[in-house]
Amino acid sequence: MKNNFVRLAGVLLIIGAVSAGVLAWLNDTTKDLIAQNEAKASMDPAVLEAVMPGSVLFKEEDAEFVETMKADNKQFINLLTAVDASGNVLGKVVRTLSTVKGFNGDIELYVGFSPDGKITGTSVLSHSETEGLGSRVTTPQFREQFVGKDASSEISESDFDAISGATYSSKSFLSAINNAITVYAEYVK
Amino acid sequence: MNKLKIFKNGVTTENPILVQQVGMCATLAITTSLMNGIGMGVAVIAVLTGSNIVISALRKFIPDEVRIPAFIIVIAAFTTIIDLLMHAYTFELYKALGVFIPLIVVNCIILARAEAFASKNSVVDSIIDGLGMGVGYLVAMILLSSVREILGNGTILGLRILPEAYEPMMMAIQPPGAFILLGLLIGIVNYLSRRKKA
Repeated sequence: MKNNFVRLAGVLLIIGAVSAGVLAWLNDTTKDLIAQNEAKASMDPAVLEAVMPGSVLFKEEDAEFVETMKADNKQFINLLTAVDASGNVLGKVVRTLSTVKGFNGDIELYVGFSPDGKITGTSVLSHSETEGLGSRVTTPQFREQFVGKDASSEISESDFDAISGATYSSKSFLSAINNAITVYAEYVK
Repeated sequence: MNKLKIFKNGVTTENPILVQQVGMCATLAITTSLMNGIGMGVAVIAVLTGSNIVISALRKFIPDEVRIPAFIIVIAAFTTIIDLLMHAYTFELYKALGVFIPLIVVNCIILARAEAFASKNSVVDSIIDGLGMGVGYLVAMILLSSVREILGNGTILGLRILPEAYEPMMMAIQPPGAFILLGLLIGIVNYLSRRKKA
């Protein structure tokens, strides 16, 4: 009886240990490539153009400053400076998650702000909304309505056109924009 | 059992979706567009075949009393392997499938095949069973997701095939539409298979 107990536990232990070993090795070999992919996707020229027309690079801000902002605002991810090809500063970009959950979780956005406090553009970095329905928050047709909006106060629900049939996704998208506006008003202006 | 029969068994006779009707939750959730359906189908083939090989090879080593936890560890490990590989090498597809890859772990097709087939048969037979069941799953996913994408969005693989004037049938890409269309699909398959027998 006792032997059997040891045998059962031993077999599970071996299977678990081997699986863990394989996964640890694979995680180690792929993690650089994955980080590269993520970084490339968030710095795609098409994304930069959608968020801040004319920009070629989003520069990192002082890391310590960003950390204090993160401690203050849980959904906030990063603050960046958009520059054009000749190095002129075009404005600030806030990377944030939504504060209101979408249909399947948070939506992650870049929101660009011009120096005079207007939204220059947005781009969805990640979302898990329903394909073909809530995923339409990623389309230019939906995102364009926020371009040029004044960032001095939050945008209310009556001030934007939600996608019919995808109210949760639209509201989640709006909450991310509003969180970016909050961050912008508090730290950048 | 001969090899061809094992393969055919998975694709038609015991098709996991259309006949056995297992692993419905991921199927209903993901089949909103053809690209998703194909991606999920391919990922399932990879995990199913991989876990079948390992479980079949270990079938004499794993004691009967602890076989379920042992199977689940193997399946979870394979799912994580696929998740990491897709994240590293097929980034676009990974973005599209997002949350659904980890869901393969709880897809009961995988555990069902481990339990019903791989734990009792040779490695080669288990590979064929994994491929057969996987292809059967993929075929069902392709059928369901193309119907849903055409009706619900007027497109196929993102290309518009119905005229702009077509008002998309919103329900087709929502969960109730998934149930109704899957029911109709199973009905058609039953009708055809009975007529063939008669």
